[in-house]
Amino acid sequence: MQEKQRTNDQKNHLRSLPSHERYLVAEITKALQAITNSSPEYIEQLILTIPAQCREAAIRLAAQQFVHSMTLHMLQLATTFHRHAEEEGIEEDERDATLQDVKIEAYSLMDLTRRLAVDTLETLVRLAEITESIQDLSQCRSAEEMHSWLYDLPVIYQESLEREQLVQA
Amino acid sequence: MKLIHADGHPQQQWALTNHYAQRIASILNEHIEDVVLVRTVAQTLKQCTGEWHNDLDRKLSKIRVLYTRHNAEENIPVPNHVTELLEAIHELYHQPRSALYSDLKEQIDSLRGAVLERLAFELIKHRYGENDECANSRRFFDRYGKVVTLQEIDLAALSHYPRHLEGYECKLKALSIEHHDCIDLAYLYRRALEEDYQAQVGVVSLDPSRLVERRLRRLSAALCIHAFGVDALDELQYSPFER
Repeated sequence: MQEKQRTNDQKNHLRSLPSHERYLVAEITKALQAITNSSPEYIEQLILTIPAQCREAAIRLAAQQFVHSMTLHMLQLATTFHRHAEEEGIEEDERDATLQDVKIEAYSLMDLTRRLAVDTLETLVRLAEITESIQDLSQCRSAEEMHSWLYDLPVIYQESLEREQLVQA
Repeated sequence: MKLIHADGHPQQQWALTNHYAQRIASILNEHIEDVVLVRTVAQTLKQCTGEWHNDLDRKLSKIRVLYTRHNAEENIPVPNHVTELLEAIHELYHQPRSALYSDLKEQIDSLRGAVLERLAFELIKHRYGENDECANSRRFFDRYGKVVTLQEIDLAALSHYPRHLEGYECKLKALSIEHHDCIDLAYLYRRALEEDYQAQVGVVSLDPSRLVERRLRRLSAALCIHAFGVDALDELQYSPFER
């Protein structure tokens, strides 16, 4: 239900972009489809079949995918928040101030990929569990709920990873 | 200045003395520095309302995962306080309806609010001694016996030696802060200074401080009203008068 709503929102929003930007987004999508696959199945196959000497690199790559997915999740929350906040009576200056804050937090999440200390299957599993749990916890039913999650999510994620030494301090 | 028990709301009194509300507050107080625990529980209490809490147990199980560590040899057990906390939250939402409430939804919402009020109480009570007063749900009266706060204050503390006064409104969400809350707190602060008390007044919330601060600004609240959002709850432990 949430996924369907999100897809409809994305389509509607895409229609409102200038035609040149729509063209560029379509080109990027085409290129993403053409370049090397990074689906879960592909990563799984890669880790299972890659020569032992390169396995650690594959694990590090998979770890980065988890952190990227959290950044993407946060940006999706921000997008949906922005779209529904007005309907829920959240004032314009509040929406703007929140999105300014989100921008900074999104960069700090992206920065986590550089600090990752995940190089074994055990630590990768733990990173996966934490990422999945926090994304599930932050499923929201309203812009009001998203509002506070946009602030809590980066802190909870970063703190969870630091506590388990999955990122370097 | 005097504190008087505000006994107008039997439901609120019941919720404040509820075993599970007190237990949750007590565990959170003991682990207030654990950002992950405090913030995930705060989000769960905000999102799981009396009206809608179908996914409560799923959320609790996800918090549990964050504390389920294992290494190659063995599973490291989830810390006892986390297990106890999650069980208490489950129980909070699954108690039989008290005769004081017309429906279960109202009871659950009242208990959610009580958790925050009790937590704020736990955080500050240690700095008030036997001869002082520190309690939830009180009204302030001035030295002439005139009422200072029209509505009851969610958390009030008063010490005559030294002359310290604290008053806080507790709101699960920043959006619930109303103009009259700000008026009452600002008036309490002014009267306290007039009676030579050092005073701190504020709003305690499970929303982030940024949201609370902006809500206060939007309501044109007096600058003396401090914001203690979920990220600043630990600051309540420390006396504002010794900084």
